[in-house]
Amino acid sequence: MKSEIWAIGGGKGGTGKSIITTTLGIYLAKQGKKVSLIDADLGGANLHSFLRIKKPKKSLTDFFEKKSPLKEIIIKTGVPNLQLIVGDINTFNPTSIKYTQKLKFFRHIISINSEFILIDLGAGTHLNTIDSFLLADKKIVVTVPEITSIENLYNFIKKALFRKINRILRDHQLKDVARNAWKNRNVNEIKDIKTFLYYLKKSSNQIKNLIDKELENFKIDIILNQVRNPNDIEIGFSIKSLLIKYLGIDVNFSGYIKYIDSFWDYYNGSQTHTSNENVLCTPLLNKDTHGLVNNLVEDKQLNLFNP
Amino acid sequence: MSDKKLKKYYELLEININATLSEVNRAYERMKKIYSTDSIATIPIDDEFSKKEREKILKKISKAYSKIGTHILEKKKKKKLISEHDKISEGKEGSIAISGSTIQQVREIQGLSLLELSKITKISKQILEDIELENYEKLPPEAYLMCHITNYTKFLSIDSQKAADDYIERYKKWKKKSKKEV
Ligand SMILES: Nc1ncnc2c1ncn2[C@@H]1O[C@H](COP(=O)(O)OP(=O)(O)OP(=O)(O)O)[C@@H](O)[C@H]1O
Ligand SMILES: [Mg+2]
Repeated sequence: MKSEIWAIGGGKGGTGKSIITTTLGIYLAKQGKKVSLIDADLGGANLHSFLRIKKPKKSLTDFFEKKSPLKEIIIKTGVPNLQLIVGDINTFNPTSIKYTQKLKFFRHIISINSEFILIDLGAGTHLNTIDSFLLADKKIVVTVPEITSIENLYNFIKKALFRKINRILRDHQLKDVARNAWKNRNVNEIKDIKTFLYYLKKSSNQIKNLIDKELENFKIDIILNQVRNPNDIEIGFSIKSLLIKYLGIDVNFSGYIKYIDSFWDYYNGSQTHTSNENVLCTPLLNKDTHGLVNNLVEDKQLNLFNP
Repeated sequence: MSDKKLKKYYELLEININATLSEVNRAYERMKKIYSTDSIATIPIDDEFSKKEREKILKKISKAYSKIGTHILEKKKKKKLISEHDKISEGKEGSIAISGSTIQQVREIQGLSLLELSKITKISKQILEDIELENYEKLPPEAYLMCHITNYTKFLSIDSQKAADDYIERYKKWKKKSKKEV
């Protein structure tokens, strides 16, 4: 089975990455797609809570350290077609996992018999987070229409792009070019990613071609969460446009999710349900999500003229 | 205009190559807002992607917008106009002078609003309207008027030289007359 890996990140904490990962997963599973959720949030794995199941004992650490097969750490969620793998604080610890291991993990993961593998990256711009983001087929970022969240989003994307360019140069034995450019950034008048790329592109045609190709293929999908009015949606279009024009990358504004008042109540208010029957009717499963998931699956974006 | 260039222009406005004129207009309005005002989306990136640079981008976008506008109008003109327009031009353009109302008629056949044309020709909507209604007393001086009429009618696939000549002739007559009256 061909599987598609979606990574969900974005930098800022509390923007809705986990609930959105869960909702997307439930939605796809309901459509009959086989879906695996991977909770790669360092310290704050909580997808199981949104699914109202107990935190599993085995985690990805067992895969990396004890060589447990992936299928031993996969757990059922109670939702048909939807399964879950959790990480824990040790899993993506920089000292415990190397880049080659990450590659191996991604190779293994596509063998787990799922059409969609959704990875909740958690908050932050840790190198491991960024690497997982870059290895995914779909790079999804979640933000809310608030200045701090947008600022973190830009940093997240810039960091990812920076890492990607460095990696590509390294793959072509051009590691030193990037390193020296950065080391002498004062002399080279490099002050941000844009001037960094500009400097590198000037240095040789080969590098220019490599970078141009990378930029063209670097594609981000934006989900705007906690939208309260039409103006907020315009902010989504602004973010998209600014990223395209500033960084020269490809950006989709895939969709938005409205701020839902009853949300807190649903998850926290009446913690009486012990079963997970009602996870199937989370308040986020609505018309907006429908459009959003379709756009993500079909690689389309929000209608510019009728958002 | 080459297809490649055209594609670049559409890319700058971040719209599909099949966008309609009114979609192009809306996309442009949105771009103008994004690149000429500060918002919570621009402020966090302000020190890298400065206001000045954003204004430069806006200039490029404006250029793309007017190129696309011209392109769409020309396409329209080629496609659906020919037959309908011929009817009018046969009757009126040949021996009879092209009047303001002919211009208006040709415009309406093409389904274009004054506002749309004003955006593309960069002539104010009021002037376009005054041209069509032949409100001579409100029109700008002759040299400008000539230029406006030529530019305007060019978009409508009217013989712009003739349209301008006819128009100015009438305009001059009116001017003489009104001087006498004074
Ligand atoms: N659309 C929404 N409407 C109302 N509340 C929301 C919405 N989305 C998220 N929230 C609120 O924000 C909280 C945080 O959501 P979530 O845990 O999914 O964020 P997160 O990005 O995964 O956070 P972290 O970075 O800590 O992992 C939720 O518990 C919920 O109360
Ligand atoms: Mg989370």
